[in-house]
This record gives sequence, structure tokens and C-alpha cells, in this order.
Amino acid sequence: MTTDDATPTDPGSTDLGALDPFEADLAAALAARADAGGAPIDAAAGWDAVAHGVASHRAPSVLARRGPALAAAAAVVLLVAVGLVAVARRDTTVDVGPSRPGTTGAAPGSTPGSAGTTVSGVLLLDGGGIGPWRFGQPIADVLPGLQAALGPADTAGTDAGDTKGARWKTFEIRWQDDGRFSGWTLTDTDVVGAAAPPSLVLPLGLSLGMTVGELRAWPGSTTPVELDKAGPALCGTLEGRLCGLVSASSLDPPTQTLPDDALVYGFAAGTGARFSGTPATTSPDGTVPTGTVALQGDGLGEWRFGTDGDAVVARLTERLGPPDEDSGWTGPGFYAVRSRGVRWKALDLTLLEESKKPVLLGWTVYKSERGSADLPAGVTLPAGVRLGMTLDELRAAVGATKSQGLEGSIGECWTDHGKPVCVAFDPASGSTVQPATGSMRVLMVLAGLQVDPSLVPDARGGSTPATLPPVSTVPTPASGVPTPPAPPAGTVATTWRLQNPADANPEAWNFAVRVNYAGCAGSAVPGDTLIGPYVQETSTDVVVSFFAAPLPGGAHLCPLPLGTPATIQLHQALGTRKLHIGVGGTVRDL
Amino acid sequence: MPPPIDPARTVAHDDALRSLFAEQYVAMVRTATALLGRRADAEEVVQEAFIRMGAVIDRVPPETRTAYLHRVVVNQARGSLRHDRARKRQPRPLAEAASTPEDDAVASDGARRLLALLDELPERQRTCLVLRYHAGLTDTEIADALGLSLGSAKTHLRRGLEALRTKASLR
Repeated sequence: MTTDDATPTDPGSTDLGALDPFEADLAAALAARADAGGAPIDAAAGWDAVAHGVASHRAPSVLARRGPALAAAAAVVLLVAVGLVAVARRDTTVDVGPSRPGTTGAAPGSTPGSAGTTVSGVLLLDGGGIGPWRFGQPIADVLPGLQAALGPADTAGTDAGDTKGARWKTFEIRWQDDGRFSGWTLTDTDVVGAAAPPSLVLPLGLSLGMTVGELRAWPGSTTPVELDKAGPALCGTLEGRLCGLVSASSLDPPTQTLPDDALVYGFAAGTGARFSGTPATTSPDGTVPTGTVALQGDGLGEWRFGTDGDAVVARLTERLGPPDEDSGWTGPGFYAVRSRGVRWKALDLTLLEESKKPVLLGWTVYKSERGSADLPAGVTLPAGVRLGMTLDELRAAVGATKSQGLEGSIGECWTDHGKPVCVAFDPASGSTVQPATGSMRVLMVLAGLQVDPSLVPDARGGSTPATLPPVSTVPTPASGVPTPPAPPAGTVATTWRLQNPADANPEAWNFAVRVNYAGCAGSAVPGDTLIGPYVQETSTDVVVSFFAAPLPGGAHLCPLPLGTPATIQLHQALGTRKLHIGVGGTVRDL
Repeated sequence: MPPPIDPARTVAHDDALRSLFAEQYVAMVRTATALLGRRADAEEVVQEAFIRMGAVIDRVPPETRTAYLHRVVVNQARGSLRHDRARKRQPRPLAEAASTPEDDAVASDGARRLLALLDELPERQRTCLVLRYHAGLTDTEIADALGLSLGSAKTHLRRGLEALRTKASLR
């Protein structure tokens, strides 16, 4: 060993090339230890463990919250993870040699996907698209990447009604006349009698040639037998609707059922695919519903607020095409429950999970930052209401309106089909805090997005919050998750999030957070009315709650504002304890 | 404003995680091995770090993911050391366990002795030296990985190197 006591270099230097002999020996010894005698690092096995861990980490919470019919969501995660394992195992991007931070594992022979995505190895098929390419994307972004991955298509651009398509052996994709990628079909037989491209992978648990019984047992299967011109199918949800195709000869016509031993010869997803599917119970002739979708105070089209939101989205997708945006089910977060937002042009649907069911909460029409101010074709607002009209014009169209608190400003509402429809005004056209004037212009129209009354115990607002009972921040030796306090009289529940997720590390004693109302509150934030933090620590868990004065009654939009800044101070470093959000007496995962 | 639409999808999250894994896994395992002395422990620590990363990756800006990962790996490694220490009821497991299979594979006797002395250092000093002389992190990156101020990181680094020189000169 070198024991040279030469003047040490400045350890603060970042130039590792300027090491003295002692430092060089240290670096060499560490490198030798890191190499573990030259034993290779098994990156593929490492990814296997990580993917399994990620899937395990996510799946239980999803299953616990959404129940059996919702296992599909967990399956999404699991299947994607497993798919990625398959990718990693075959993907040359995993570098098993020495690597340094900042280097890239870009794959030789990788192919371009959308938005700079590179794809190599296998492509995972799901109900929302193919690998990185999602339904609704311009086909110009999709087709080149697929051709790079699968080779030149056997056929492309074939007219098929209002859709066009491309085919590689027994795999085909479809797109709409407007150039948006809309669907795929994979079968094990076709006119060319050739096998599908080998680099396409179905989600875990699905395979060509599986039996109907096996498909029924697949966690994503959620619906009964469906029919269209392609024959019978069993469908489920995996990033969107995904259907297993069965020979029509297997169907028992009187009962419209399929025997468990019937074989699945193909899979399809999206619209315009071999099977676009409509439940036989609602459309036995297989036709896709058409006609207008009227936005009303109590719902839209034939669907009322409170009905199965996922089903509404599925049916609307058949009418309107794939949505421009779909958040999928996320949270619990801002709404304190899981939520989903789906947008077609200027129409937004908001879904919430209530009693473990996905319900349609409301609709909003607005011009998004990236989107269009136009409604999808066939969708209509009530009574000639339109974005950009003045309040005077609105009143001329719908009659008298009533002022309401909206988005922290003043809006106007009227009754349509027994429920309120409200508009919020463009702040640029008038004051956001004064009563609306006739010249103010409509920024958005919405229905069904009222505040949950349980979160507004005092609809008059502004009452003095009660004093909270003292809670020691000294950790108790007990383990487990403490039960957070319910909102004291005169307060409502809030939720919070870390300003910087990286702050929640074992050494952290305090955290900067942003606090919002737990219910729809528009841009209103607790501000000076914030009470807390209310910190409860045990040896295994930390629960932090805040409360705030209630908002004035009336309708409030549900976008996510920045929140009121606050600091959580712990009695000791977080360590291995888990940090939770206390929301009105219940606990949410961070 | 509209209801929140989160365009990030699970697939995108996992693509990001896979990309980060491809870039950083091997380097992180080597760093963790240098910290812990055992490859198997290191792989476990790094895999756990990536699993944790997978839970938050959509909330961590891409440009800070490597730094965040370093922090998680270091924290996991320190947790592993503490767990090992508690299990063995020894103050410094690595000092005794310096002769790991990994270190046995280190060809030079001098290098093995230097690693043994390194393992006698206080945890923070040892970690700072590994991050500096193996992973090549800057002072700022070391401070970030350890959740320290820049000044503290420099102090640990300087004291650690001085202590190691002193120990080496006495043997």
C-alpha cells in the first residue's frame, strides 16, 4: 500500500485526473472492490427484480381500491412491467458492461417511436395502442416506427370504410380518415396463412389459442360476450378495451354464450380494428351508436351523472373516436379519491371513484392550452350556449341566471334538466371578484362538478375554526398507522403533496409541502385559514393532516391549483417510516 | 382551468424507469459494491432503489433523476449497513468483514489493507470517499446524495482522506 504523505490534493476538486498517488491507490482499490473480482453484473436479472418489485408495489393498492372488476388496472401495471421484463431480456439497451452516469444505453438497431421514443426488442400490445404508440396519435408518427420495428408492411393504406390500415402478416393496424391511429388486430390465421411478427407481445396471461375459459379467468376480463360483424368476443380493460376474438361457430345462438373450451383466435383493440365491439345487450346488430350527444345539467347524451364512468368513456370513444387525452385512473390525490380525466377536443369528462365504482362526475367545456375550442362533432351544449359569448348573450339564450362562486370568482348558473349548468368568465373580460357584468365572456361551461357537501360543513363559509386538540409530535413507541383527526367543527379536510418528492428521504426532518382543499375548490386555496400541520408519529408511520376554513357554498371547479405552502416538521428524521396524508380523518398514501 | 389531465401514463413511467435502469444500473451496483463490500448486498440495495424510484419517477424531473437515484442508493446502502450492524451487534461490521469475497478478489495486498482501513472510518467519511474516488461525484453531488450542506460534505471528505492517510502511515 502506498503511504505517500505528499501534499493532498484538494478533495473539493472535481478533477479525478489530479490524484496524488495515495488517492490513486484508493481509487484503484475501490474500483477493484466494485468489480468484485470481475464478476459480471447481471443487468437482466436486476431488471427482472425491479420490474417485479414495481408491479408488486403498485398492484395491491389498485386491487384493494377497485375490487375484482378493477383488477384490470392492476393487470395493466403488472403486464406492462412483465412486458418490460421481456423487453429488457431481449433488449440490447441494457448495458451489462461498466457504465458511468450520463452514458446512454441506446440500442443499436433501435427504431424511432413517437416523440423521440426509441423502440427495440419487442412491442407490447394493449388496449390503448402498441408499445409507445397510443391510439389517437397521428399515424405519421406511428407507421414509420412500426415499419422500422416490423419491417415494411405487406399492405398499407387500404380503404376500409372510414378507416385505412396496414398489415404485417396476421397483424394489422387501422387509422381514421383524419389520420389518427385507431386500432390493431392480431390473429393466428389470415389469408396469407403466415404467423404474426414475432416481436409483438400480448400482455401476460393472453395468448393466441388460449381457451375462452382461460380468457374469462384473466383479471382484465370484465364484460360478457360481445358481438359484431367479426363474430363473438370477450373484452376487458387494459389501457383501454382489449377483446379476444372467438370463432362465430363457437357461439350458442339461443343463449349467446361461449363454451369455456372454445379457442381464442385473435385479439383486437381500438376502433376500426377487426373487432370494435359493442355489447350484444345494447347493440345486438353490432352497429355503432350514432347521433348527437347533448350536454345537459344532469349528464350527457343518454348517460346521467353517477353512472359507470368507464362505460361512458368506452361508448363515447366508439362515437367520437379515441380521446385526445386520457389521464387513466390516478390518485388518490387532489380529489382525495382516485380520478380520471378524459378529453375530446374542448370536452372534458371527469370521473371519480366512489364506493369503489368509477362514476361520471361531470363535464366541462373549455379551450385547453393545447387543445381546441371546438366541441367534437355531434356534441352540443344546451340552448345555443357557446364559449366566448357574453353574459348578455347567455341570458338571452337560457333566460335568467344566478350568480355563484366559481373558480374563486363569480360565475353564473341556470337550471337545465333539473340540475345546474354553470359558466365561468374569462378574467380578461372582467373582474374575477365582482359580480358578473353583461359584457364578460364565457370561458368555460360545466355541469356536475359541485363541491362535495360533506367537505363544506358550513356552506356560509368564513366561520371561525374550532381549536384543535393538542397532539404530541413525540413519536410513540407503538407501530402502525395512527388514525388522523376528523376536521374539527368549522373546518374542512385538506390534502397535501410534497413540494419536492425527493425530500422524503430517511434523513429528512422537515418537508416543504403544498396544501389544497380535499374537494373541488377551483383555484381557491386555504391561504391564511390553514390550520396545521397536525403531525402524528409512531415507530413505523407518520401521518400529517391540515385543515382549513370552508369555502363559500356553490359550485367550484376541480382543477389542481398550486396550493398553500407549508412546512412539516418531524420530531426526528423520517428514517424508514412511511409518510402518509391525513385527509379528513382518513389516511391516504403519499 | 380544466380538470386535471395527467398525460403521463404507466407505460411512459416504466419506459422512463427502464431507460434510467439501462443507463445507471451497472454504475450504481458498482458504487454500492464499493460502499458495502459485497456484490449481492449491493445488487439488492440498487434494485430496491430502482423500485422506489419507480414509484416516484413521474414526479422527479429527468435532469435530477440520477442525483435522486444516487441519494436513494446511498440511503439504502447506509440502511443496509445499519441493519447489518444491528444484526451482528458490532460497531463496524465492515472492519471485521473486510475480507469479503469481493475484497479477496482484489489482487493487491496493499489495496485490501487500504479497503480495510477505509471501512474503519465513520460512515459519512467513508461514503464521501467512495462517492468521490469511485463514483467521481463532485462535492455538490456528494452533498446532494447525502443530504448534507456543501460545507459539510467537503469537511467529511477532507477529514476522511486525512484519517485514511494517517491510518495508512501508522501501519
